[in-house]
Amino acid sequence: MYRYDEFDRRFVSQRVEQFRDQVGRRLSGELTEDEFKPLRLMNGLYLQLHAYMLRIAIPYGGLDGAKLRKLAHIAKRYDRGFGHFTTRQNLQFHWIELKDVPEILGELAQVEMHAIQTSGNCIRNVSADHFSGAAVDEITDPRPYAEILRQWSSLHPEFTYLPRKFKIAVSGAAHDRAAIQVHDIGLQIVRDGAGRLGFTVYVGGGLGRTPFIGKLVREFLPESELLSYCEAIVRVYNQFGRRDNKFKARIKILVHEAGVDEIRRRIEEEYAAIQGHALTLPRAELDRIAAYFAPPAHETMPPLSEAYEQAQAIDPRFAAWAERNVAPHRVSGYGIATITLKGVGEVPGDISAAQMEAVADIAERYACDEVRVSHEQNLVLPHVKLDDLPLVYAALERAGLASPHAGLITDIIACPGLDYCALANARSIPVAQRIAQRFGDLDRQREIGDLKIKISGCINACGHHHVGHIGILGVDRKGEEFYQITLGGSGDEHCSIGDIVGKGFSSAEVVDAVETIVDTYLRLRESPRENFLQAVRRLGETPFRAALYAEVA
Amino acid sequence: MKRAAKGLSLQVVTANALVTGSVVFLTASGTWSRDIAHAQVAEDAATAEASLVCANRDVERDVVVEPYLIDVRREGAAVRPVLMRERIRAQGGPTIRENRTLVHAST
Repeated sequence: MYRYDEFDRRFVSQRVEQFRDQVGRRLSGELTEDEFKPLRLMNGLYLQLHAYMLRIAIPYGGLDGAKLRKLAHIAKRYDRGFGHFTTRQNLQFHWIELKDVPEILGELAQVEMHAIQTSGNCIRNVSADHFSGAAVDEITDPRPYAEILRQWSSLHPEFTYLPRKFKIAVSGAAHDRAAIQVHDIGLQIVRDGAGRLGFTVYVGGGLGRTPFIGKLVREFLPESELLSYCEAIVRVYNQFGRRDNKFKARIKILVHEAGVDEIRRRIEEEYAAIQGHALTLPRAELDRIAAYFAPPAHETMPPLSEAYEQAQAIDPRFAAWAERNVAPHRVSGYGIATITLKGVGEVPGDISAAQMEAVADIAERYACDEVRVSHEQNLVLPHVKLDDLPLVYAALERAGLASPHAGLITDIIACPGLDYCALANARSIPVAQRIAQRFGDLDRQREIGDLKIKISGCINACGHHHVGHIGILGVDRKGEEFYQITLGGSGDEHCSIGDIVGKGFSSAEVVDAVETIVDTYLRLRESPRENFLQAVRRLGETPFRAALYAEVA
Repeated sequence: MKRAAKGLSLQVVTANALVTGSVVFLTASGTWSRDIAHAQVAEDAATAEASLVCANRDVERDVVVEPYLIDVRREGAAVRPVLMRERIRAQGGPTIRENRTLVHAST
């Protein structure tokens, strides 16, 4: 994990003191709300329905025991004993008081954390594959590049007042777990014909009101050119992006309106002017940053673990968990464990302080002190010995964190929705909970297989509904909550935006509608090997629409 | 700022307290209460606007932020916001009935 150097430490502590002064001046009346609001937003502090919300940056989702313990402490001391992981790998506290924020930021700085780049029209916290450094299909670890982008983008003076926010994601594997094609810049690490490392660059992806899949602007960008090229992209956006209409201000609209060829031409022109200068990454610097992310000292283990196999044979619940929640690791004898935060009766992404501490204990004891936050609002232990997985499972079970449903229908992404969010039009969490309840039977979930449901409480799409295999968008219709369903979206390397299946459903109808869709899939799939998304892509929406609206027709 | 819908006569002023962020409602005595039952219910537009003027003075005094009028109905002795968003704010927290995560918060 990256460790702060003297510069980082000074930078973050100065920032805390600056905000402490600003909060003091706000509370004393020296600053008005109009003056203060942009300052608080630059420090991740929002005002939501019930209270202030503090959004804490977790660069590329990387946590360790010390950070988790600090978050647990903040949850207990300053919030209501829990936190909420978001689809941007960040953590939100929903019950914060303004007067406490300087203290909280000071506490966070002690563990090298902050809330910078979690709000405002800047380059936001950079996200990356949550299996980084552990995935079997990885070309190289994307985190060093994400960290380099973080250092370049943090309070970048030219890019502090962009037309709109700007999000970058990096994937180091061919299988995209970071949804890079729905980011403003998506970076796919690749090797060229000569074996050199570099990036395939996508620009102009995004969800929200007008969803777009990122357009390919560069097939191969050499590794050393990362910052020069990203600076060229953001500079073109900063210069030409629309500022007349908030809803048309993201780079996706610029790319759409100007056309990808014209945008590529402008980017390349800008890149030609700046390449070969200060932003070219020296080999020594790349290596220095990469050294922070060196893999932990894995032991030499046989590929098969007797303890792991035996525990699966004895305990069917552990076997079920292992089947869904353990992914293969690049190192023999290790596995990647997913801790889902969406069990029946849970709030997607929520975690209690006690659970944070339990995960910290487990990570320190069994998982090389590494934890990741996934954009699917789960946690990941990227380095666990197969031998230790039964013990990890037992500890997770004691903490109420052993739901064996990773990637199944109840592993739902849901934004906080109208229960917390000032922008929302409808509630998300209760819908997610009712779906989880309806499909709670694990045998049924396993029979259905891989299926991603994603729910947003408004068109801003924090719940990524456009790329859900089943997407659910909450809307307000004359004061009543309605839910629009999309089918066939996907956020991976075969990225697609889901199609609206038809008219929306009331809150009372929406879970039945999801069940009808699932039953239609089960009826029409060619075999259990054809997963939901494959079936939707083969069949199109027609049979699903027919099943959903049969009674109306 | 959220504007109240036209044609509905009952309104109260809500805001968030500056220091805590809590949802508050303007009372008849010009103070703020976290309980909508204590809110002053304006029965005509002029009273509502006067309440908002009063609320805005507390913005200048750094007591509350972002005050606005919401439509309400009287249900017996209770005052109930018309919009779901405001009902959720007035009840002081999310509508989530079951939260297994929080079971673990207390252990």
